[in-house]
Amino acid sequence: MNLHLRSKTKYGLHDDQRALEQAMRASKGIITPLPVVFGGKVIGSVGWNRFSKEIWAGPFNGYDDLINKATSSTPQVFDAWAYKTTGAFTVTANRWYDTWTVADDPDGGTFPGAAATAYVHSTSDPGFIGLGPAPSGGQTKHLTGADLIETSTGAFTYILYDRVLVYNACPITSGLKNMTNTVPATRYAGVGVQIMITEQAVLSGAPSLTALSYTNDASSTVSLKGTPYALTSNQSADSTHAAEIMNQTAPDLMPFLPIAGNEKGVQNILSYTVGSTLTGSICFVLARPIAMLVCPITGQSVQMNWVKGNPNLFQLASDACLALVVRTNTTAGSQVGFNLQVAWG
Amino acid sequence: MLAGISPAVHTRKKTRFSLADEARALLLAADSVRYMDELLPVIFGGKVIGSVYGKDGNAWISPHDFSGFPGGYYDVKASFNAGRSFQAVYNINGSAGANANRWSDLWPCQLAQGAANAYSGTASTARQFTDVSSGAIPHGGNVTPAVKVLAGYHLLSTGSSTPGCAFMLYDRVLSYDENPITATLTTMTNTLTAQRWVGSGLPALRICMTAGKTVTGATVSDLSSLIYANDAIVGSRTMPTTRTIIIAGTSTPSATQPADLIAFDTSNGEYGPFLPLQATDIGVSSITSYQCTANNTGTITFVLMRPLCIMVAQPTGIASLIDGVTERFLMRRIYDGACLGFLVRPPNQAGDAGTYSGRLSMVWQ
Repeated sequence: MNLHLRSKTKYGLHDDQRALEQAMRASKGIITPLPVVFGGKVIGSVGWNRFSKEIWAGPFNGYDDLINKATSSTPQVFDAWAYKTTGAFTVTANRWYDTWTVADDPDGGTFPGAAATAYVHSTSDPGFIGLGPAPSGGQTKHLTGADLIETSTGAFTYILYDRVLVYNACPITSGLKNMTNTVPATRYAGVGVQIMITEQAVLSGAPSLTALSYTNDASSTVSLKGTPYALTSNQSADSTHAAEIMNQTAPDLMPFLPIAGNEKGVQNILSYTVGSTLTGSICFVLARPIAMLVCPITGQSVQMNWVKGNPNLFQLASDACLALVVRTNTTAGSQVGFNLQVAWG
Repeated sequence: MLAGISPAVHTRKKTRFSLADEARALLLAADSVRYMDELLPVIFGGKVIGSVYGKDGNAWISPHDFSGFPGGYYDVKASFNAGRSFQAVYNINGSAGANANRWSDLWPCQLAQGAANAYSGTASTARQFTDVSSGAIPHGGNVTPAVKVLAGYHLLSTGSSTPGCAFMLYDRVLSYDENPITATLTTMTNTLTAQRWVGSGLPALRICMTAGKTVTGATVSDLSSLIYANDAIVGSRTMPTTRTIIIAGTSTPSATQPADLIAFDTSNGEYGPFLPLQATDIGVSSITSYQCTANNTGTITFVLMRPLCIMVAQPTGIASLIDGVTERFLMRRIYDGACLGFLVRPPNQAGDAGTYSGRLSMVWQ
């Protein structure tokens, strides 16, 4: 019964089951697999006196369909190989770092656009993890798995995220600072999108973020909960230094600022307020977390099946700007090779 | 869409009837579903040959792509049952050892390779590889018009630090052997081109830079420029050099010595197996030229390959056995003529010296 978490038809789960069993009896002696249509949908297939229930995820009408697409004349699968590090420096244990700027494979990303102005990263900017050939019209790409090969010492947690919208070079000037929002985010409409604050140019002190106003997924203006947040800074983010994620009041917090319990996410940032004036700058990243990846043992390789496990065949936006944040339990930086596997249909 | 019933889609017949019969069946089904706002499969000759959808008096037809395994898992099982499969056995002797934390190419150590054959191409000239190249792992020969895929693997290692040791199965498509380490621009000869993985809708290849026949000398020299043609066969693409790419081989490849992959400044952590590409590129079809910062003795090899899957070793003597259809979703294409080989990356406790053997499970339809 575990397979029946969602009914595929307008009838009940037991009706689906009965239909499959009836079809199986009806197909005795027929060695050719046949689909079972019930309630206007294919709910499974029968053959060899067995039945197989279909999964429904995005463009794939079941596991069989995924196999079909992966083995088509032009394979609709891709292995995106990348290698990312936190750079050549000692990190703080149990803190999150954004590897966006570090020059590895792919090359490091940058902080483009005007100060405190919304910038939509596209797949023509350097730094993003590419996901293979563009699908033909109407097709969508989905994650099917990952390999992780960690090199350095310690246990590591990674979050693969989509860098949706950024506000670069935001100054630390005491008082309210309004953002310029000429361009909106091009994907998610705020759903699942959260705020990270990363260092850009090292700050001359540790300011306090006392207020932040944003537009949530329901297009309401909301004030950030839980302020003030102490923003820590150690050094500038560049091609050999990952950006420390600053909004962590304790080392064991997640890298995202909290949203209200009834919200789904953030569309844009309207303004922020800090309590002091300092040199340096910060970057607000609107990030859509996609998958967590874990390397629990030093030097070991980890393999994940995302067809059957979380984040089950997550659909990637065609202009997704994928990047990686990492948290280690030691002061050793992270050096990880990984292979993101995608399929489309 | 009716226009979708193109002969080009029907390069293989899906039923025991003719292509015209299938087209007629789809058209008949489309007529039958007008005003039915549901997607329905069309069964003809005992197989689903497409789907139809009707709405407001109109109807749409979507013929299925029947290359590969249109029936999915059932077709995979049927192919195995019908003997359309091959167990590709491999034996590799890497007993001289691969460096910890670094990728090495096991190509010179593959059984029947012979060190003399591994890098015998003309200097800086594209060299093609196929399944009849010396050392290539046999995978059952050509099966076109059927489609062959990787359906699983078995890996057994005797290595000294084997648990967690990662192996990358790859298709070796082109190499440029015996490239000098020189501050003068070296232009490649590209008379021969990639025979697999390059073309419309395909991901093309990635570049490994490995040791050549002769170990590199002590002079510090970096790869300062590499120009290539990308997956769309557009030339003049430039490898990023934001991070220094040091050429530093530590040993000479032999029948027991894997070839070091030599790339990146190791002070900034170790490195991945591939050279980085210009933003927006997903692959490489050929190398145009390269240049180093200083002259040095020794040679390097550029290998253009398509990675197929990662295999992770269990403790010494314990087989790693993976079903690539249901346990992991592999099903990566093995083209006619694919030249299969392995990279290895021992975990960071130590390097790995051992023999590696097993089988690759192939199935086709």
